[in-house]
Amino acid sequence: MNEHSGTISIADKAAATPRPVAVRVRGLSDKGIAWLFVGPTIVLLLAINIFPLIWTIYLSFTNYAANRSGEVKNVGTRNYERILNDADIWAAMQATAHFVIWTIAIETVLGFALAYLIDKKFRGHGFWTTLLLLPMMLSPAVVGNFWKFLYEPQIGLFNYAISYLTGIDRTSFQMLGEVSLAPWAIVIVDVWMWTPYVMLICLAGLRSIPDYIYEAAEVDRASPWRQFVSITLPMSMPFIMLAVLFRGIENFKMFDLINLLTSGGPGSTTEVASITLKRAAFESWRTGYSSAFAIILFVAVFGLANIYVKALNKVKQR
Amino acid sequence: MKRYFKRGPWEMAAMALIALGVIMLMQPFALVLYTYSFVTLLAGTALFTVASKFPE
Repeated sequence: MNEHSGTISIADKAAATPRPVAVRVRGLSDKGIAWLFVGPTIVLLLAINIFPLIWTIYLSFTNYAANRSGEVKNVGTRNYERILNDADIWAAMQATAHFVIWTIAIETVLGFALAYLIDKKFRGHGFWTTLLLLPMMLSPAVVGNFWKFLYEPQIGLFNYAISYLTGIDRTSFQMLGEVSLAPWAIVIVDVWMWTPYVMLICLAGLRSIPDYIYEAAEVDRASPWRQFVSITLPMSMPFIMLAVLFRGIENFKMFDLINLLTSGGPGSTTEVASITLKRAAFESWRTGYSSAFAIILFVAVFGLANIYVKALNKVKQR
Repeated sequence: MKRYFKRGPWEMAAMALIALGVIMLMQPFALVLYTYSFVTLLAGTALFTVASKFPE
């Protein structure tokens, strides 16, 4: 301790380190110290991500059921054959495609349009940005429950608003109870909740475009439409693609919102892949079978993510 | 040998396979396409992983 200054010098700190630790650390190379820091993260990654993945791949080739004790038999590729010949799972994949394609299309267009408006910095834009961001800050459990109330045919505000705007009797349709409307009901809720997220990413893209590019375009007498097509859109494209990637992967495995709103019904109209997977895993207790299904979904998402990252890098290089 | 294993064309082929696999997985037209979608997807993904290690 340096008594005059009242502070601890580095030499004092080194001297205060317990001897065995100090010797051990001093004996390590730079590489060794780097491994010491990175090691726990790698171990955690292996334990939380890699091991469950490998275990799921192993289970997908067995007849394992988590609620049964007894011998686990290797069934080869039978689980995969069953899934890939099952018309019900095929229907679930189509329901997933409907949900993913429509939500991404609407969220991207709306999100970008909102970001473009917010970027114009009108009076009170901060207030409107906060207001627009509120839905994505809510828990899916809360959103699912209150949209269930909004969709109520007797007391729901949604039916009342539609009835007010179109003149249709508000009890004549049920958003969550009709085969033709239920898939759109879940699309509306997802768009309401996650458009702000797309907007936020697009806004970051728009704000990253330097002003001098627009100034140069104005000197060249480029019209606002020309500026939008030649500057705004191409320069914010990496951000739009990133938003599409994030939402695409999230919606491909969407579970909570749909489970709360329709639980896959009416019938199996809104039974997307994740709901089917949960039913096979925790209602029918076909763990091996559901593991195979999970691996199929994983390969699809992994493949798509590869394409997307490649495309994203290409756009960035441009 | 190196002439044949260039990253660009192989990655492109892998991406085409993946896209085809996803379309086959989710299309509403033929069950047989759905049946072979996983093999297509797996082949594409494996090829992409290998091809990304090829020289430019």
